[in-house]
Amino acid sequence: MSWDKHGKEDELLTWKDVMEVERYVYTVGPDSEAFLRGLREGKILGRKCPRCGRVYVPPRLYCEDCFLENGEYVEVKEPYLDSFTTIYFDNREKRLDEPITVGLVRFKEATGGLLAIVQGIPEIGKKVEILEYSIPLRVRA
Amino acid sequence: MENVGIVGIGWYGFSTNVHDLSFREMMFEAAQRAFYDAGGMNPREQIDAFISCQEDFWEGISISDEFAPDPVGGSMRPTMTVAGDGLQGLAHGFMLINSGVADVVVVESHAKPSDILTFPEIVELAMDPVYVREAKIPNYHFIAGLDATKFMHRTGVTREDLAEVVIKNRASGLKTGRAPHASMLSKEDVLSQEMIVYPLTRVDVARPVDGAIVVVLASETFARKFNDTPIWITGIGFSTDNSNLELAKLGDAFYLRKASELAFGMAKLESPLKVNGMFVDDRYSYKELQHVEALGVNNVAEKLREGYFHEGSYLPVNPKGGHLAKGYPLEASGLSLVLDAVEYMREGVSSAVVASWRGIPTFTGGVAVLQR
Ligand SMILES: [Zn+2]
Repeated sequence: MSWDKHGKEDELLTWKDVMEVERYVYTVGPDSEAFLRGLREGKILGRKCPRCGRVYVPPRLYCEDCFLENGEYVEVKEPYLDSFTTIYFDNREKRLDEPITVGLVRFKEATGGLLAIVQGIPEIGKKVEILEYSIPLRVRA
Repeated sequence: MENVGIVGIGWYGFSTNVHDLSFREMMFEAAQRAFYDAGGMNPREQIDAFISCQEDFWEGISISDEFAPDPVGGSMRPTMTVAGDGLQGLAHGFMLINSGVADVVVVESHAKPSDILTFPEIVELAMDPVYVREAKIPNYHFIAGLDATKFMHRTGVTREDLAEVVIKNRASGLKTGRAPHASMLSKEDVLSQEMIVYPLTRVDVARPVDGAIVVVLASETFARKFNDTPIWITGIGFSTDNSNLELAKLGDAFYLRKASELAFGMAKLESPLKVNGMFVDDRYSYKELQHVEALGVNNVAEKLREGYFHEGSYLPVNPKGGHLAKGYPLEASGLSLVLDAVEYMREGVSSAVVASWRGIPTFTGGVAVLQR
């Protein structure tokens, strides 16, 4: 309720500055390291909880349910599309040259999943073929 | 255990650009209005603790909690910050009073997205740097797209249903002085819009808005000192599904299922259908329906088509327009819905449920049951 407000554009000041946030080193940790090495060899690795058997993809050090260190790495198979979306405009509302379809790919008997660029006709639950082992994956529906 | 009531509420802004005031001045303006609403209380003498809900990256200032106390009357007074949505802050205020630590608590939250020149990049900084941000998907709404596709596939909600939500909420906003994005749209207007991110068009997506909101809470012992008709918070809870996109449930607001279990249990609310109104986060059109479902309402698509959620019907949802009409003031979004609910109840109804969400890329939300 300050009684004297000013609205004229030339009386208003803004202070332009830059937040230096663009440089940072993220430690990936041993599990992501194992995952990224596997990816290079064309394998999708998960890691299995010794108690409940839950397989985490991407792999992680601990099971969040049992709070135990996870055990062996396992290669997961049978990727399928859990959901998808098609992007027509970018963050700045600029039209993309070609729309792209993004999906969340999950794996049979595993929990979690990976983002993927999807070719072909997407459908929820549909099996996909991995064309490129990268982040994001490239898959064909 | 003391009951906790809302005895005052004030806001400032709800404009796409509050160009003349800084966020701290907006906080001061909202606080003045809240204290006036609470019977003209003196914040320097009559408040035990202050809570501010904010997030450094939105502010452009790290350790921004240092800036929290003074604009709301809390200089040299007990102050805490919550790096989360305002409804989470409300829960902390509730706990301070309910446990007997404090009798009168102020909860504040604010947003000045018009100051953020790189908004999408800031949102992307909240994503997992290795598995999500590194995927470099060109529009951060893709997470809403994945969630919406799965939700619609499971529930049978259609594009026409989403259009109905957009029309309902944007029109409802016309009745308030706080809704820069309110408008009269026809079904044709909505359905002819281009897709931004399937299945969402420009009008399905709420915009960020500048705003500050201050709520004054008081114990039952003190409440009537400030307000003859306090609005009681009879239940409150908040929850996070998972911090990892790939481990959270897609297509189902699991975080709100958990939060509403807590809040409804506390309020001894048998059915969500027994309240007079629902104020749920609708920053994407489908989210309104997904959130109503997570509160325990079945067959949301059918109910929407029958007009169930429209004003004057059985269970009005966002009768003040929600975020689609008002915009979402970042961490103040939950309090924006509380503000709508309080105004609605002051018009004469006796109960409401508020359900908040922290937005992309989170799976966090809170629920409050309000009664008078
Ligand atoms: Zn386990």
